[in-house]
Amino acid sequence: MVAVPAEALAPPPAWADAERWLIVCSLAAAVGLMLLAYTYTAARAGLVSDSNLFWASMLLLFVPAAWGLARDEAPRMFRLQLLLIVSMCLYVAKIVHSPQGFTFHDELLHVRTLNDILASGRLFQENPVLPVSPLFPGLEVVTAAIVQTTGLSVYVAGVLVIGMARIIAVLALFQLFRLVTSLDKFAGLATLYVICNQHFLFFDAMFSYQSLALPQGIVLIYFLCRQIIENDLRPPALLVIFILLSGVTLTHHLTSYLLAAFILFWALYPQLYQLINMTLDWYAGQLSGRQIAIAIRNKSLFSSSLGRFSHVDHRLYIFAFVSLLLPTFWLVLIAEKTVGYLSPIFAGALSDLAALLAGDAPVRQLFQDHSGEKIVLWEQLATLISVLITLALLVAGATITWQRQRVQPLVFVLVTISLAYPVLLGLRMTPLGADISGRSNSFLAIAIAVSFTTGALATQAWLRARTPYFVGQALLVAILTLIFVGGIVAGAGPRWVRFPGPYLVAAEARSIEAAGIASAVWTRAELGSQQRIAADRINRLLLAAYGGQHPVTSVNEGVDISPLFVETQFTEEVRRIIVDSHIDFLLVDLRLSEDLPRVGIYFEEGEQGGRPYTEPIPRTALVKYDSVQGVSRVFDSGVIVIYDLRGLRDAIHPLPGIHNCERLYSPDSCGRLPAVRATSPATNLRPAARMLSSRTFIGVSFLSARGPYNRRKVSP
Amino acid sequence: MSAFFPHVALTTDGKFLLSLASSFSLVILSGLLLHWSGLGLGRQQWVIALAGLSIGLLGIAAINQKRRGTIGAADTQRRQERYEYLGAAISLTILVLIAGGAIGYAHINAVRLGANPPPQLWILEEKHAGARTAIIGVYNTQDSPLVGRLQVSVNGNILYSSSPLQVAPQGVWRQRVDLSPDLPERSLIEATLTSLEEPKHGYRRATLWVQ
Repeated sequence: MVAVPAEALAPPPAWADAERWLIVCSLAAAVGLMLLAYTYTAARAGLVSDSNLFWASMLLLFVPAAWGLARDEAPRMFRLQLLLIVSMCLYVAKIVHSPQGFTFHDELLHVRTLNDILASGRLFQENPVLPVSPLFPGLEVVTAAIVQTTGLSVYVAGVLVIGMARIIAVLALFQLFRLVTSLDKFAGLATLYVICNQHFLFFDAMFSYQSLALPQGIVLIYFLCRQIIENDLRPPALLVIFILLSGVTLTHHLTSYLLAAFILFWALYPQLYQLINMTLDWYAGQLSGRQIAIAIRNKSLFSSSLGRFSHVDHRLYIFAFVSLLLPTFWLVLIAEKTVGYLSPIFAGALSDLAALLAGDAPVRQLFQDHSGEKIVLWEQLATLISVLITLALLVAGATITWQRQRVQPLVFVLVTISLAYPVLLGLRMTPLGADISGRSNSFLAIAIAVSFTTGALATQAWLRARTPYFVGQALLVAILTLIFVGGIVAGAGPRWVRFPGPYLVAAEARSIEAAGIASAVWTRAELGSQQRIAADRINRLLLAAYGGQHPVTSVNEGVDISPLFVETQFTEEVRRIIVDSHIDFLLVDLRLSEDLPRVGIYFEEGEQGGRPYTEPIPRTALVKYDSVQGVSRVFDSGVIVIYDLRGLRDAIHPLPGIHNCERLYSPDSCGRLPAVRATSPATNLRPAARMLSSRTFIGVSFLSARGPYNRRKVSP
Repeated sequence: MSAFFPHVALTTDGKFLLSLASSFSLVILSGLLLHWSGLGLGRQQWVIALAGLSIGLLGIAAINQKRRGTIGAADTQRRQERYEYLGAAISLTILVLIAGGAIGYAHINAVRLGANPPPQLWILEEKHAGARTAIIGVYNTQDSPLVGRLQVSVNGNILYSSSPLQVAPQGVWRQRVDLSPDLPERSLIEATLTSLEEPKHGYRRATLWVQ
């Protein structure tokens, strides 16, 4: 039980106006959504220059629901409905951001895996842009099942799957918090806090494996806790637990490992707690080493009545063991690539942090993107204040919980984990650490929610004793709103991430547009799939997802392709990379020369030796292949050019180096006039080619699996 | 859930939650089994697997419920919840309709405001039974006809210059160029497309080295 003064949470009479308030919330949310749709449309047309309308719509979605959840007397179903309204409306906000198709970086990584499954009917096909994705195909399997049984497009099926995962997450969180505290209000507010976390709006709503695995993991913890409390661990329950655990294991690596670690920690927590207490007593001279040894030998540490802990169940060891065994089994037998994928990320973050502590690394610029665009001042302040409030309430809540006598071990586990929050804040100061900190936020928010809500409710109770009723409620809503706003700013970042709009260079969703998609589709239609091709970070995604190509990447093959683009001349190093890495084609986006990359990199992490760019890539560097003998410029759309490099690899003679175009055109260098015969022009209009238009790129799978361009060679 | 827990009175939202989460996991496991069994993940396989799973679980649920009966308290609770759901259902339905409207509005406007991709010019070599052919293609991605001039040169010598070339909206124009066997080694074929309406904006250039 979480410690909140009983008088503050005594069940009051049912709130008569609950249903009316639900209608108010629904209408406010509806108005908020329409306003948001209008704002995004205006942003696409370049008519919005600030974020006022965006924030107005967000507040309309959030504040009325928060007000309802802060009431003491609201019934359980009312709270659940409010939570579902907020969470699903925020999901709709993400859909409205990209209503035509998947545009976020991680989404396109998984679309490639999904397209491969749909095309081949097999799992574990190679994904060159995210090699571990096919090894954890849970999300793609579910989506493929929907696509294949209903005929829906990949996009619609993906949106439905993630939408259902969101419903699962909210219901499971509410049930979990309610189970461990027995308080509806606590459960509602704690779930709302999780909704306020920085990744709920975009990252957790993406078509990405974590978006499905995390809700399943929460259900598993809820169900396990429920069955332990009800002392019902009969075979049917065990079967359900095993099914859920398998689902998580097959869906996301990190979620399954964290889940196993969590259950292990949960199982061992009472014993660890006793052991630490004994050690402290020994240190204070109240207990001798012999007494501790006797306690361990007599197994009193494993007593089922461990003082302040309720519901200690040693069967948790079995679950901890199984939850460790399944992911380990999968890792060793199927997904061994995961180690190579995850270890550099964590090692890099730790070395960054060590360098930062030693004063050797530059501190990451907060509230600013790599092109220098800053977040407006009030948003910066709101974010900082929300972090400070979270820290204060977290400490208060943890202290209160610690002073309680009979508590669920699970509550203690969550409170203890929540204390990692300050450490992750520190990690945000380094580039790689920020990534890890950001990604772990979705997990950590669940633990922080317990401490935070305990602290928040205690504050409300303290205020209630001194001020009118509504003051405490208003303060609670104000705090949650501030944290919601701070979460969006911290998670979504600068304005260009939050808004759709014209193309920007290396700017994730803002770089996904018609020209890039059409070029990727052209490669599939005219070159065939699985061509080894080098491209920048964004076009690489499109080539993989829409073109079915095999982009050469650092993450998959350890090849740094950035010199192919940034070197101003065709050097021996460039030639060596092309030949050694068997690169057949090179896609050059000429727009890279127009601006600095918004995310800091054009190609891969660590390019340019990790040094930030101070000016865009010169256009001459991008088009240097025009003058290289043997390199054909086979495709030109004005903004995207594709070079065929196979002539370089096939050349018998050493390369002549840089050539002048004009010289190549002169009759002297070209020899005699060739005899070439042109066939009669045949206009081959294909109505189906309309599918190429980005205006209809909602049907990615249709193009990739059954589209008119699904031919390896042009017809004679 | 009734198949697994006929003796437990789960709340409706609890049942819904566990059913949905278990269904996801069961579909994932089914997909894995279809893959490992060699049947593959196709439409028919999915229909058979999921229908079999659903019917099997429904059968177990029915047998369990018949054997154990229904718990009286659950009925009362279910009636109460049904009442609670009614009011909510109306307001949530309105919200869902408006949310759908918002998505539709955003989609229609994204289509309206979205730019077509720029026109494409390409040239590719095709080797076919000893014969060599270059294929030149123009894809007009725009909603208006593309009127331009295509010029093909070989090693700098103009081979072909089209009369004004017209490609219909969203249409593809192709031309095969048979390459003579006595073409010198390392020849450069160059195709340039110039829009007659907007000569600068419509300019495209593609090249092909024949080695």
